[in-house]
Amino acid sequence: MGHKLLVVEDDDATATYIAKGMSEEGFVVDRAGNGRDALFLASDGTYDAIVLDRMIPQMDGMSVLGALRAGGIETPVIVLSALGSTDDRVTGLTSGADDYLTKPFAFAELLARVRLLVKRSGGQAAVETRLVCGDLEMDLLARKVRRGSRAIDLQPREFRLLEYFLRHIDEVVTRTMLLEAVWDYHFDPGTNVIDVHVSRLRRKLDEDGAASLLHTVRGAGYRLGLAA
Amino acid sequence: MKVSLGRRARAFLRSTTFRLFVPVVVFQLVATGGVLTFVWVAGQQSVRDEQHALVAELRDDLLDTYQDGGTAALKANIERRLGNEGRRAPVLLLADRDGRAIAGNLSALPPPDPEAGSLFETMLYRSDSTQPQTMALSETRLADGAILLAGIEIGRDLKLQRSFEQALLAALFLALPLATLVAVLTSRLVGQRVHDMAQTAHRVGSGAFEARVPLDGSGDAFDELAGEINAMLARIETLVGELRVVAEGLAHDLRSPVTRLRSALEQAVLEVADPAAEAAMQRALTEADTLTRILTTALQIGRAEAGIGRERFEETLLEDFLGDLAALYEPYAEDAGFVLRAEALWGLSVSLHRELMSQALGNLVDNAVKYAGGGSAITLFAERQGEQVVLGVRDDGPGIATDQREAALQRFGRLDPSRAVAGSGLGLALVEAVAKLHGGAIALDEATGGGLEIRLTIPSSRF
Repeated sequence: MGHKLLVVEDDDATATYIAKGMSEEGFVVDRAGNGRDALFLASDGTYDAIVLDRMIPQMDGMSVLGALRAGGIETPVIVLSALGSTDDRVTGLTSGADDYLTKPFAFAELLARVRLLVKRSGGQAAVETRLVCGDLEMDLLARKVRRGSRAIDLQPREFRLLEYFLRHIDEVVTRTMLLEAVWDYHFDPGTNVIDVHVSRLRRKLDEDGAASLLHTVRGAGYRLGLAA
Repeated sequence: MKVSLGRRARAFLRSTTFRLFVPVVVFQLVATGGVLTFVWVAGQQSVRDEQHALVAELRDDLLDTYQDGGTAALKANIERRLGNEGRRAPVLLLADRDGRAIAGNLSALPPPDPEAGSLFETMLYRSDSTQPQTMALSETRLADGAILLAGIEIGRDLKLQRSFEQALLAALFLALPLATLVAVLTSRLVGQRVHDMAQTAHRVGSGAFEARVPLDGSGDAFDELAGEINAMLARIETLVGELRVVAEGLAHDLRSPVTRLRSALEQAVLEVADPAAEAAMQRALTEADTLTRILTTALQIGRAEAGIGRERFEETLLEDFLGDLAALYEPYAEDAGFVLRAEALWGLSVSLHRELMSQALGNLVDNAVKYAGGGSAITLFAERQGEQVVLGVRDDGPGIATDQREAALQRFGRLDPSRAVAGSGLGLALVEAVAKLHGGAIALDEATGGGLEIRLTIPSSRF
């Protein structure tokens, strides 16, 4: 794989942890501990993604981001922040960040999101009218879903949930990502609200004893795919 | 009804309007009364002067007669005068040197009064009357030692007195509406300025820290007060801004160690082989997540209470808003045995912070699922109440006893049975902060049928 990743984080323990984890997942990781170094490293535009902490010395994260975008560097950026309110999130996203993650986060969440960013920038997907995973088929125009010969009747929200999974086959998708993408909420609903939606969808997909396609990834979220 | 009337009457007695009304009436009466008294005294004086002039003229006429014709002529003159009937018959007496009456309509000389001058007023009986009367008299000792009393009856000048009283009464009747007018106008003038300040204070109180009292540039006491209030508000705004920076710094400081804690645990989970140790670490991870959630909620409450987030308000159709929220929670509620429904008045919309309001109402739904044991239906509702919009959640569970509702509303206030379920402490506090951010309030009520109904009442037209 070898995607290049820049991790901008002044807290050494967190930076080491992210760098180590990402390297293990096959990324080539560079580190910057302050805003000036970050801007210097990022300005040649060779990175596939940047993980950017908001509160860093010398130049804060949002200024670095602003400078990069002003300089025409379109590298995808995920902002890490201790400012957890949805308003800060919106501010982050409107000032050029591609994603926003609140500290503290689960590593799996960061990994899933970075992978999504790297993939997204890898090339615009063609407009698809059909999504397929094994014997599961989704017709986006007729808004119909079949598994093998069986038609599956889905509520509009379940349809969007499955569509999201089908667009991210074999990728780990976290609960927060689902909540944001399918329901457009950014708050923590607290309980296992998303889990219940997913297990409902799973029941509908696996109704006649077929092998399960929707897998739970412990400590992270879910994954749709053929392999268990 | 009687009590409320009495209370309203007492409130009116304390009102600025009434307090202005009373002194204005008093001043009006004192001023009018003073002028009238002066006019009355001056009038009395001129009447008396005229009476005295009459008496002097009468006396001089009689003395002329005496000088020309002596006592006999004088006596004849007196009798002739008394013979003339008239409204103001003269009072006359001619007495010899020993005081015996020779002619006239007085029975006797008045007792000698050393204080009296040649012209004096006294009360005497006329010989043809049984009532004493007030008369102005002049006493003259004639050349032969006889005494001549000449004068007129003055009586009490009732007519003047009566018109004085009427004028005073008229002044009183005029004073009441005038005083009312002055009091109402003054209190309205003062009230408007004070109302402006109260309005500003209200807006700042509900989080709009940029609000200021309008100045009219007159430099009067109200303008000075408004200026001082504005200076204070500017200071408050600065402090709140600093507080926000401190809060964010605190969040950062707390989150960083929690992030490291979580990272360390996640790494450790991967490295340990002992299942018991791994289970313990998973529990620690769950606790770290709970800690994060509490931090996030506490931060959100602080921010909402500081009025941060208003700039993200959007006019929202409540039907869709509640429908979306119900769609998110519906399977979760159903798994717990509840039917979750959204009931919004058709076409009703209000300006709100979608994320925060969703989270607040979501908390309430979550609470209902956890505590409305025995119930079967949870309803997200939106209705109109006058100029306000009520958003809320009702269930058909056991409800909350009236005496515990107040405690349930207090921050961190917990109903004892509910403490068993984690994370409920800040939930209601967040709901209350969100209601406040929207310029509204939260109330607990009993739903028809006995369950709990939590209502967020927010104004539909914002300042």
